[in-house]
Amino acid sequence: MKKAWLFLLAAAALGAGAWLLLGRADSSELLLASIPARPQGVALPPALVERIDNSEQDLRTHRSVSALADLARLYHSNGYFAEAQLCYNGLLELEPNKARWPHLLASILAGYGQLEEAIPLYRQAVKLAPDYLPARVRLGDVLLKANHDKEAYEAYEGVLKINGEHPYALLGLARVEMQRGEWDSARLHLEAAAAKSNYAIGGDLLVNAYEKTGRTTLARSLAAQQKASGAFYDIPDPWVDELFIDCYDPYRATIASGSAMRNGDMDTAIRLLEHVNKVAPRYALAYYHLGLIYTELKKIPHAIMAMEKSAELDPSFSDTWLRLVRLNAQSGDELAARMALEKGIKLCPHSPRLHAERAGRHAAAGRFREAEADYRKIITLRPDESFGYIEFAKFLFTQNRVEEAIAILNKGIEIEPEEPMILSIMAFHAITVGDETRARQLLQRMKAQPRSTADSIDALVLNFRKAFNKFP
Amino acid sequence: MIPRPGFKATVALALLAAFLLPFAASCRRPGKPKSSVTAKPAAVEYLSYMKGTHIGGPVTGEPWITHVRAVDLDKDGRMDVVAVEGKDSRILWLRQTAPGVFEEKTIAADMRAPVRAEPVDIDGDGDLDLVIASMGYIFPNNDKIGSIFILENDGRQNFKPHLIVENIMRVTDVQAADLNGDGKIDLAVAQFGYDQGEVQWFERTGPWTFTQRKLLDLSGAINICVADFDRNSTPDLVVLISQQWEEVYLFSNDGRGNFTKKLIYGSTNEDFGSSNLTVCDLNKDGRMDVLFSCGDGFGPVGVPGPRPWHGVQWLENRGANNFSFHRVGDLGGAYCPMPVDLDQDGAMDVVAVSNFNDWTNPKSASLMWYRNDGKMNFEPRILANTPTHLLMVDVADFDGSGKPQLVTGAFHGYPPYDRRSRLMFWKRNTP
Repeated sequence: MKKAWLFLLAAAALGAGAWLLLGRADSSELLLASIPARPQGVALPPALVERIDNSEQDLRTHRSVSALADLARLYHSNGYFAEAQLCYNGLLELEPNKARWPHLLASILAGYGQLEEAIPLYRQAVKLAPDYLPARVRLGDVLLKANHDKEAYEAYEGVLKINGEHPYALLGLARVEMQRGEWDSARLHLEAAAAKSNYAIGGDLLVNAYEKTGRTTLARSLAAQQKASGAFYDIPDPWVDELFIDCYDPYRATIASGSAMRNGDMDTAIRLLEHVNKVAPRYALAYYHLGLIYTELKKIPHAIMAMEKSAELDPSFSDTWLRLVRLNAQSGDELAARMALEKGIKLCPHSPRLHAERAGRHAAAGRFREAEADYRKIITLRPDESFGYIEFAKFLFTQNRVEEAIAILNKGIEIEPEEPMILSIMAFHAITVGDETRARQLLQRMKAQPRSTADSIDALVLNFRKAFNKFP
Repeated sequence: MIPRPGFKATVALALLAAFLLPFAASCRRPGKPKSSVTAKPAAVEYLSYMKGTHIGGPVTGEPWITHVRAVDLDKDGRMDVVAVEGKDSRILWLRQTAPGVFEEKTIAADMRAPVRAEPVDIDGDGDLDLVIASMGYIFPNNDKIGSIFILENDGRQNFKPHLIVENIMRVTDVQAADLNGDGKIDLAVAQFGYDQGEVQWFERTGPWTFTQRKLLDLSGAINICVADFDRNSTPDLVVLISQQWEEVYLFSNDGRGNFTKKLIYGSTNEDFGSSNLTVCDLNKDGRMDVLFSCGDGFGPVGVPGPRPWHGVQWLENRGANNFSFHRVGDLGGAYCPMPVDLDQDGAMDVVAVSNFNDWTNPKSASLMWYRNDGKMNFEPRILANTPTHLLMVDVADFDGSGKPQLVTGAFHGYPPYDRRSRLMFWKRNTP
């Protein structure tokens, strides 16, 4: 009997050993199976190829999960999502308790709109990292877009239990309420989201909410302030955002920097651009954006240096020259500003903004003939934009060439109908020359436009009353 | 008391354990990771498959063709082209006078930055009129400067413009259909706006008068299409919302103009870049599906360009207003996917164009064909990489050969301007 028990123990030990060995073998097999084939039909940057080679080598030699994580990161950050997905699928199996993997994989799937696949992954991420609020907000977002309103609402409420003023969760609640037609509560949540984000999010929908709830004056006032920019400020998501420091595609990394800048995360924005400068030292756009960030941070010498480098690398990009002119002027170096302007116009002769800059400088210095030539040049270059007409008309008014100015504005309003500034100037002129009917019509048109501010309308109404002794 | 097992039983148990434990381990093994759903085959060049020829007026400056539509406008049996020039605010008719020969004529001017011209016999007099969506200003602007015109055809292709509405949020698409079953043709209207936008339907109240009925308060509506998705013989609406929302809404119609809204697709990628939507029965199952693209390349940097997720996808109508998302293929800067059986093998393919591809790379595709293998797997084939900046494509049998040909329109809104076109006619080289 004792022999039998010994035999049983030996067999059990054998089985356990085999279990452990095969388990390791399984992990190894899984690691190797998670190495994606190289992307077809694209020339990867040599530096990226080298890093992929190193990660793959590390993975094959040491069977290291961290090497697979590196590989996932490289593919994800460089926009090779199919390859990144394969890596993440492996990582999900190998490190099932790590929230980052389902979150990152979900971000790829949700980005394509594959919401039903993203939902369980975001749920998993929230379960594993309940305090990582971007995962909770993203879960709410995918549930909302997949028509699971009730669950989306609960997800956003879950965020607000942790951070009661989270603007993206407030916006999410408002969107669910808008879907349900609950405009009063949507308005309250939008007001809170807009206030908390300094109108980066929520302000555009708030105009609708004010209209829907009968608050037309507020709607009008908010629309006229133009606080919304037409662009969405995506939620900062450190797990995703930090990937771009491994991006070897300068365009994509610069886009990521632009998003970070929009979100006010200047450190990340700068870090990403400095990374671009390392991996693509001749990429002018990155220096231009670096210049913009330093301008925003009021680090003018830094901004000038970045813009000069951008201009050196791509002298045909007129925006850089315009920035250089203004930055030099701002720093008090008028000579450098003038030189940059002349050089910019020489290299970018078709830039309306540079001609406008020079026109303004000519006019300020009393060189009216030269100014007029530049203003006319703007219209020649961009006959389809109202900008040149408005600038030229303003100049003509300063020269007391009123009829010419009005004729130019009439052309401008054909190009950009109902442009509020043109309407405003023309209304003022109509009042001045005593054309009551025309003034009234123009005022009505101004009132119909969201961009017309209450102040400008009030001022014109006051002038109208003084001129005609009646309300318009 | 549990009886002790005998020797033979113990040995048998031990062997079983030794056998089962490793098996249990293998059960834990997850196997090869799941296949990647976004993986798509690399595009293959088929540059000699079709030949493109410039049609209409010369290419001068930077053309802004915002829409093309293949239609036999004069009903002479030859397919013509109606095109929209957004910069010049003109509606063009390219009459096909002989196979592949087109004569261009401006049929309406001063259309206030038009972006869409849809042919429809709106007054029921037997000829085709045109419904025009006008943005007022094509680039970003939140002013209420949108308008809708109807160009009334006198039967001899002289068009009288009727201004239906003006000073509304910028209009990007108008489609005509009897939406409330009263026998009169109404309008389905997408209004992009900018910070604020909306989707509406306009109920016909008189020959040229309509009452506006709001359906949705969101900015960024690009396209609206009419089709019977739920097979209740009433026209439903589907709308593509871009801007930061990136969503597709279905409005189910009860036949009396009462619509029930349902969100049928959304991406949480605020830079998704939704660009165009059309409807078709792509898988030929008798249900209308939705085909749409993402490729708008304006973003938070100074120069527009493609994104890795840009491409074409379709929403399979699975009945009861449920839709499943499927990727057709990748295409940086993708616009205007159109269903067509290009190789006439019986399976519906897709063609699409690109406006925001990486034009610094001469191999970047501007005209793409996604060939359907008959099982809804699409193989991407590059039909052209010159000219660049294509925005619109339409498909028709222009020469009566029974084979589909294409017409494209280009919108050169940003550099480089070295490979320009305006309107082009594309015909198969191979028989």
